[in-house]
Amino acid sequence: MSAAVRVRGMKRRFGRQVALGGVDVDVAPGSFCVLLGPSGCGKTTLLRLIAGLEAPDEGRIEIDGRCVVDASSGRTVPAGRRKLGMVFQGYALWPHKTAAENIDWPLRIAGLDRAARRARLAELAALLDLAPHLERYPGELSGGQQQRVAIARCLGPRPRLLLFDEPLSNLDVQLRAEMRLELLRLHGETGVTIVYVTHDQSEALALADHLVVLRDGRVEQAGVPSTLLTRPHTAFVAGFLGVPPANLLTAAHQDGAWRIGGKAFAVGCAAWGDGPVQVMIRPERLRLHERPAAGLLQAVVVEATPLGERTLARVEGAFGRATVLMPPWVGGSHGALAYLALPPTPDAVFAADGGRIT
Amino acid sequence: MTPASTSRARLGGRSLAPAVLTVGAFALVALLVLAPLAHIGLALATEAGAAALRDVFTGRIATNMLWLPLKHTLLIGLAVTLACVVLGGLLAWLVTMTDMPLRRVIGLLAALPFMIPTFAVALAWTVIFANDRLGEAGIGVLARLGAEPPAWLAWGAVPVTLVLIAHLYAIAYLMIAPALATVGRDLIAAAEITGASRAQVLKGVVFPLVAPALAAAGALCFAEAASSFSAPAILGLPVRFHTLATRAYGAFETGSPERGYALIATMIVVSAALLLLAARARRRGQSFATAAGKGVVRARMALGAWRWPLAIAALALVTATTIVPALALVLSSLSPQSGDVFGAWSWHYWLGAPDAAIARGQPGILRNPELHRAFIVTLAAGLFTGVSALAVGLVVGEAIARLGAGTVATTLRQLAFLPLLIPGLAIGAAFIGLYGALLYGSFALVVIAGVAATLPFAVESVAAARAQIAAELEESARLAGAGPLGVLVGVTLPLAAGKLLAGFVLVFVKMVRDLDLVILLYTPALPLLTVVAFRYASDGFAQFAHAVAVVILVLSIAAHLAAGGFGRAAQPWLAER
Repeated sequence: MSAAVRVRGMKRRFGRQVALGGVDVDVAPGSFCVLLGPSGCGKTTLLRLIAGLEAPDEGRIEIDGRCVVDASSGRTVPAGRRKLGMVFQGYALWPHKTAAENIDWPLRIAGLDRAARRARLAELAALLDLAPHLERYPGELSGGQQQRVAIARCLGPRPRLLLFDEPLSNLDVQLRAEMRLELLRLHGETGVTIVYVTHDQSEALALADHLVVLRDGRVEQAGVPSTLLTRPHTAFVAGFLGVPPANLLTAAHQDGAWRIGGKAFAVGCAAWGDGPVQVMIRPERLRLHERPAAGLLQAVVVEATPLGERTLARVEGAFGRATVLMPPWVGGSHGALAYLALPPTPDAVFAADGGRIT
Repeated sequence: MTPASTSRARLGGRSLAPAVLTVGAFALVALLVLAPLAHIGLALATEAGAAALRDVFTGRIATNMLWLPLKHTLLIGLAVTLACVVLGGLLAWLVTMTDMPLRRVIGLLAALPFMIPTFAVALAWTVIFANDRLGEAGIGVLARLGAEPPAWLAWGAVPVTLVLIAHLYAIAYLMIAPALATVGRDLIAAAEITGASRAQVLKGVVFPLVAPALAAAGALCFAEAASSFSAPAILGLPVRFHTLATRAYGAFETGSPERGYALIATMIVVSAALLLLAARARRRGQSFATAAGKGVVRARMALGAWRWPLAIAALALVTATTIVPALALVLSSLSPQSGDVFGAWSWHYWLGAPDAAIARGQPGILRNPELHRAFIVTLAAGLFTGVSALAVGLVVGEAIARLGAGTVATTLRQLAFLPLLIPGLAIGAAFIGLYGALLYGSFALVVIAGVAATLPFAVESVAAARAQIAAELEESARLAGAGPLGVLVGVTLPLAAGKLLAGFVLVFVKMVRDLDLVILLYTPALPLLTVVAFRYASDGFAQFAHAVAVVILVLSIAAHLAAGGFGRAAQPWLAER
């Protein structure tokens, strides 16, 4: 079975700025693929290239096994013939059309007759709970309603592929959580392939069954979210993913031992090389103590957030900054002294350039 | 209603002040707008008025007095409107939505014709195209080169239409470009993704979004073209080509004001009907004008092979309507005879001592005490009218803003914008009729009429200035302990100053360059530059007229430069990628 979307060697620059520097991505049919990365990583550019709203400098894209753009041969299928739908960050609802007209227009363009259009509109209104709002203009709808109209509009012509460009970033926290569920339900009910762009890693982890982490126009790592969490390929992925993300502490080789903040750590790991390395330790493997003891690192509590069963604490010290997720902390909060206990071995070790060593 | 405006309304809610403000605003509008209209209506209701109406509509003179000029007025109005919306719209599209080269320069030049008064363009037209209708001395550049233009190109309907287009397409451009600038890239992309053709995208998305702006621009162009006096007076009268405006002027000059009012009432009704149509289109559009939101990224359509041809065509248009007429006037003012721009240049018409052989002994305009006086009077009229209009605009604008969205506010706003559809000539005539017994020939009457004519612009600039100031800004100053005066001086004025200054300059320039409004208010004791130029032109002293026109041009462009009116603030879309 061919991939729903296959991107090969994609390069795109804007003036001197490289938005994409050679990207390969595969999206399986029916999957919910999330492109994740900090702002400026090229994720929106990649999405717009898939949609056909930008032209690549190099590389090719296939949708359902059909080549839609190939920079080397100059072949381009225009956006309107790629049979996909897109939900834009600002929704891009046509402000002069009512919700119903916004949903209807693409159906009309697709050549559906009146009866078929009316039936489809009713179907979509039921699916997205829009029936009471159909006669309103976008300016009269709330953010969440606009969002649902935008989704209904691009679902209308039954596309094989749906593209989302940071669709939840304009909604408040509660609505965002609701819309996430809605999107998952929609994905389950329609079976459509989704490519979804976001910079919010918790949103990405909640939605994706395939996750692509981008940085500076390159793919850092792609795969099943749980694999990215447990086996990050790079320090960037390790420090970016997870709620809270993993700690990255700098360890230097000194006097025949690896040291973090001056204290010996993970004795006898010669295989890490000579230079300083970045040591990944998950927050739940760190502990804080109220009293000093041998092997503990002195730290200052910056913030301690009680989460019920556990406490999330952020501390600073000679080792840098660390996040600790541990049983309820009864020591002092902001500004109090505490002592950080490291586990005997790290979860992963990365070279100074971010590549994984072990 | 936005949260900002609700909190503002509450702040202003101490009951007495708004009541006084509202009453004051209505009183001002009644005095400036309703009174002159009522005067015209009442004059027509008298016995003499009824007789005039009969004469004009059904009498033996009706064909020549009303119907033929009405036909000319309508034809010119429609042709100008069509051409302006097409030219201004195309230009706006090229500048805001395509990758046309030189679009910044073209955008800046496209706003300029608005600064060049119609009568100056009309005079420039005669410099280039005049034939020997007004005597051998008056023939234009083309005729002197041996390529005498045909009569229809020298005088009458065609040149009047072209000259009005040259002035008014800039207004259409300036009204349509901001509307296009709000059409975001994603709105169009969302339509393209559905598989819609380019024509379907234009028809289904782009056109409906800019239709309100197109309608408003069209209506304004029509009202301006149909009520213009200077263009048909300069280019039509020599061949007895009349519009309603020139007929009305003739009626006032020959001492039958009722006939003038009858003609003017016809003009107002025609313009009002069109503006109302446009207002309906705009109302339908209102709900989405703001929905497109801020910070939109615009798509730039690649023009491909058409890039340079379109750029050159656009550049030719903006040059032909700005630099060419200005140059024609300057060169003519230096030439021995109008249009003889290749003859021996001299400074006579600017600096020359009186010479009985030339123009009945008129001295050069810079040596002529009457011109000095006209210069000062014109400048003073601009300044006083600008300041007074802003003061009135502040009262009316504040009252509208504080009244919020109710019927009273709507009524007040509509009344304040009414002068847009009253021709300048009519305002002048009505004010003479109203206050003439007391104030005829006085500076005050010129200023009052000016304030009435420019009220819409003043109110608009006050509204724009208010929009600069979020209520939170004033509130935070208040919370910081500033008193009302402190808030005004420390926060409100500095923030509003730019837009208010822009409004002042707009009014100032309109006063300095406008002929229609002041032509009837002119007396020899109260000379105004535009009227002086018009008199010179009618008396056959073309080069003097051209020199004065150059002075007016310099004045109005200098005022705009001083206020930064050509900058990116005026056309923010020029600053983008």
